[in-house]
Amino acid sequence: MPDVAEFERVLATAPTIRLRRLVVRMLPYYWLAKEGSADFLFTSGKPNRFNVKGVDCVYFSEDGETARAEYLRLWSGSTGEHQPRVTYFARVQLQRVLDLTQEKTLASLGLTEEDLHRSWRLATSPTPTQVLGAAVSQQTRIPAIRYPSDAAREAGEAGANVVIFRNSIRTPDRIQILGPRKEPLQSWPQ
Amino acid sequence: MEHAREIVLASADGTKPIRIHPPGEWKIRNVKIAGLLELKGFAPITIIKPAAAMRNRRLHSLAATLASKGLAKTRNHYVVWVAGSTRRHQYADLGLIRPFADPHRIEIARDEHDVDALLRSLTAKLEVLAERRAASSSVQREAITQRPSPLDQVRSVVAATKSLRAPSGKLSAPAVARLFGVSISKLAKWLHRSRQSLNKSPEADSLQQQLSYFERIARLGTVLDDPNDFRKWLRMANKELEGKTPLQLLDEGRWEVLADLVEDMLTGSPT
Repeated sequence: MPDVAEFERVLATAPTIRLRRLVVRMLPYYWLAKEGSADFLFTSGKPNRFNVKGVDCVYFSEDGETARAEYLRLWSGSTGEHQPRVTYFARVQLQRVLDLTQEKTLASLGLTEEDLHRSWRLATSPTPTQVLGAAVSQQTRIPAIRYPSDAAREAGEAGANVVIFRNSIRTPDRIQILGPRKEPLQSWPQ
Repeated sequence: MEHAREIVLASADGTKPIRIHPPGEWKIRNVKIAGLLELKGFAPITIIKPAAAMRNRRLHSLAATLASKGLAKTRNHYVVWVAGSTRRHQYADLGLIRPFADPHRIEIARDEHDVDALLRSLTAKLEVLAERRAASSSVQREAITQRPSPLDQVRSVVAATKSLRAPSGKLSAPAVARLFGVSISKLAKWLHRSRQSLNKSPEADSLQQQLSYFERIARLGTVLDDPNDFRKWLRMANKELEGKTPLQLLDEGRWEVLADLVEDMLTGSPT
């Protein structure tokens, strides 16, 4: 498996795509409704598929169906599965995104399709995707990674998620949380 | 200023007064004794070789001045006096040690051979201290990365775990055991405590850090409002946990993994 330094070298020339679209996230309604508002771009720094602990980033799905598959994977079988849900949207404009749904990009990084779907939550050492995320978080050429959703695949669908790294995003790239007015509720870069 | 692996060798005229042989990676810097007082910080090891003609009274005064300047004040600094080989300094030892806050950091060598033996011991001690400092900062870094969750600020989420707190405001072990549907003995086993100690001090300060993971897990109660639904979830095989149940993870001591999963569930983070 490539280490962070190797990934960083590859990232300098890795093929990228441009991403301009809405992305979406789904979460339980009740606590948010009671609160009335939330920090929609919060970063807890806890590990996820493309980040080790301490790396600030946000994850979104590319469409409502994928967000739903992600939600159901977490809540399926519990009473939370059929409770009201909330979706919120963000508009992303990103010049260079590492698109791991493309075979040539995967090949350039020395990753396999299997690596993308590997279980990470119980891993005792960083997974290949987490190492890649660590490398992305340390540079500014590529602020985001697009990757196939494991939850969507499990549900028999095709869908993708996007992870955006806070310290790597620079103007003119941006992510904006859409609200009732023209002005976004929140945005990166701030 | 911290000097890594540096030995300052101080003599009356700043020339190399004795031949010493420290381990290879240690560097030697020759200074005048008077120059020691001008230094902004002290090296981990300072060797002082006073002139043979220096009177004891002046020698003790020098020791007092250096001590007042902070020499050997912290645990990472040692001083080696090379004195006592001459008749004049034969009875100087007490006065060379007394002014310093910690006598353990002051050594007295009679000659070069003594100095070499002391250097072997001191450099080894300093290496071990450096290792411990590194380990300690790594633990501190870990503590820093345990950043507060954004959910810590959400009133409705915090309110969902109110039942876990005693009137004192501290997390209570029996309340955690009740909500998680386990006995006090089981919780004590998870926390590596005895049942007696949990019964005796169920809200002990020493338990709070560990119990805070259980509080984060219990935040699922914001959605699974009925405690029975929460306990049912604890017993369900979970795809995110490779088919294990949350209770199995608690058994394995992987509380943080479970607390992180709950946060993902509440915040809808794709995984």
